Amino acid sequence: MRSLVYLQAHLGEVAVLTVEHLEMVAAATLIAFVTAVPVGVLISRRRSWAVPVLQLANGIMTVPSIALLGLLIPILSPIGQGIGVVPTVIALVLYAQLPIIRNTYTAIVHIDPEYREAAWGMGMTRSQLFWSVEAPLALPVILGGVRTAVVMNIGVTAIAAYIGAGGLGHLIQSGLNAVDDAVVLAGAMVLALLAVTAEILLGWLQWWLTPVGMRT
Amino acid sequence: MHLLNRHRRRCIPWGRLVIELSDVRKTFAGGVEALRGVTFQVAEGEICVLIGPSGCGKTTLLRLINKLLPLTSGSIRVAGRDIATEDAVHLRRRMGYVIQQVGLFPNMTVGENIAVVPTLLNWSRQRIRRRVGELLDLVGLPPSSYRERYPRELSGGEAQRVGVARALAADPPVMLMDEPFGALDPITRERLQTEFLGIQSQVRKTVLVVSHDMDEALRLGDRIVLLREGRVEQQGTPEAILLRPATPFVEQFIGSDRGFQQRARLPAIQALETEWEDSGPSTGDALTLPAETTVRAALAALVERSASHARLTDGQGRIVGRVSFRSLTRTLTGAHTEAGSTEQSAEYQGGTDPGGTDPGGTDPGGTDPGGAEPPATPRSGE
Repeated sequence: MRSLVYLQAHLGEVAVLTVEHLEMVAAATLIAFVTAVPVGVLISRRRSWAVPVLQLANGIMTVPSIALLGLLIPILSPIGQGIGVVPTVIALVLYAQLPIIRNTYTAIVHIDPEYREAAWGMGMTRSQLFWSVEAPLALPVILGGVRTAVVMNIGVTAIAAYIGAGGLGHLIQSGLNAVDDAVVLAGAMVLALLAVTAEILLGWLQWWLTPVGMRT
Repeated sequence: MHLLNRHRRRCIPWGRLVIELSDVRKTFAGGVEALRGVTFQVAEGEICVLIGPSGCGKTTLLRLINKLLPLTSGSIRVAGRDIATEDAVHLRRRMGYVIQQVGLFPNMTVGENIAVVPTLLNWSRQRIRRRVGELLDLVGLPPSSYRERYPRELSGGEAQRVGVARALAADPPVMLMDEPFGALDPITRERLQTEFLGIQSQVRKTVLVVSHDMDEALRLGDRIVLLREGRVEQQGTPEAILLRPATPFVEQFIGSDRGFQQRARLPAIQALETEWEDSGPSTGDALTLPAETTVRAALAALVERSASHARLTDGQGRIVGRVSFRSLTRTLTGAHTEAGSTEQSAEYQGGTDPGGTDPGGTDPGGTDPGGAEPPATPRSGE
């Protein structure tokens, strides 16, 4: 109850933190999408690369977020970005690689061979096959990976408050510092709400971007 | 009309050769010899059926012709040009390709699927639209209700028709078809084969069909090339293969129950009732079928429509006679003269064909029609 009262009293502040939070997640997702999708496509073409690439991405996922953020401090300090938004976004981009690469790879590898046979047989070029057949058929599954990455990264971003990146983690952190459970809980509630909302909205987006003939 | 057309076509002096294979060999990376020196030709406007048991190399051969696979040795010429010197993409756009799984793209509508090659060839929007309409009409799917549908909303037979329409879209001179009707139930398959012959009589493509079904080969083929373990076992007209099998293997491949199968493929016109008089209005609701309908298809039609008899019409719509269950089943079982024997109907029930029969041979729509919808109350139209 006190948490709700706190939220009501600090609505403006919470809103600013939420926007900060979302900005970091959005920037990271965008960068991750344009890097991970091509990698996923590439390893679906050169299957021998798939295992090492997926293992590497898997390895990154297993590094605890606090450790990864700590690791980035000495690496980015020489350019004056050891803490704050830049290392946070980099960490988020790294974490998002696995779900997006894996889903892209899986989606393309599992396209029924009959479609490729038909497409080649009709005289499509490699890029025509990709853009008019493979990409639309794989898109829903790729977006599933994006969805996983976003929800996961909303949580990871909360940790980034410890390196001064702001966002809703800041609320939790200050609650912990002040030993005030209500503030901690308020931060956690907003965070959870954010994650659930993102999950639902991205689910809609995924459905909406699924080709009409393939919607279930 | 197809039977008449086929015969007329065979009377044309040997046309220009469109597909020429000369000592074609294909060895796969693992050392498997799929083709060991295959030579044959397909003339302009004819349907050549490439047939053989699975693993004989027939699909490999088809995929060599449109360069989906590289040739090991030998040569393939299409329309006089060696395909080795041609760009694969341009070559393929000049050949319609139909595969057994159809491969309609699920993210595109029926219209968009048919438009694939015309779009690749940069046709104008209006021209594509017009062409799609023409093709849907040609394959018997009204454009108004099918153009905007998605593949998952189609039955197997409808999807396969769209597959044929798609392959015909840019009016390619050559069609390659890999078991185009293989995945369909027997009745739909036969109907589509008949329709395809009708389409072919209009479009006159040079067609190479891969099949493993001798019935299909006999039905569709102007010529048949029988492959066995990567070599041509025998090639010739359906009649030649059927009447003069070159080896025991061919004989075995043709099958033992050929008599029955053959009779099922006879035109229904051979099953006309002898004592028939047009009784005018009383038969007004009778089914009308084209004269070249097969015995099997005519029976299926009778069962489907719960009709006791059908009138056969020629190309001008003139009624040439009437067939009934009795006359059709007699033809099917080879009993043209003596009717009503019990072993005759027993043999028939053992067959795979739809259509009713009963020991007396008089009651239309007797037994279960095997797949088609069961007939309603039988009418004794006589």
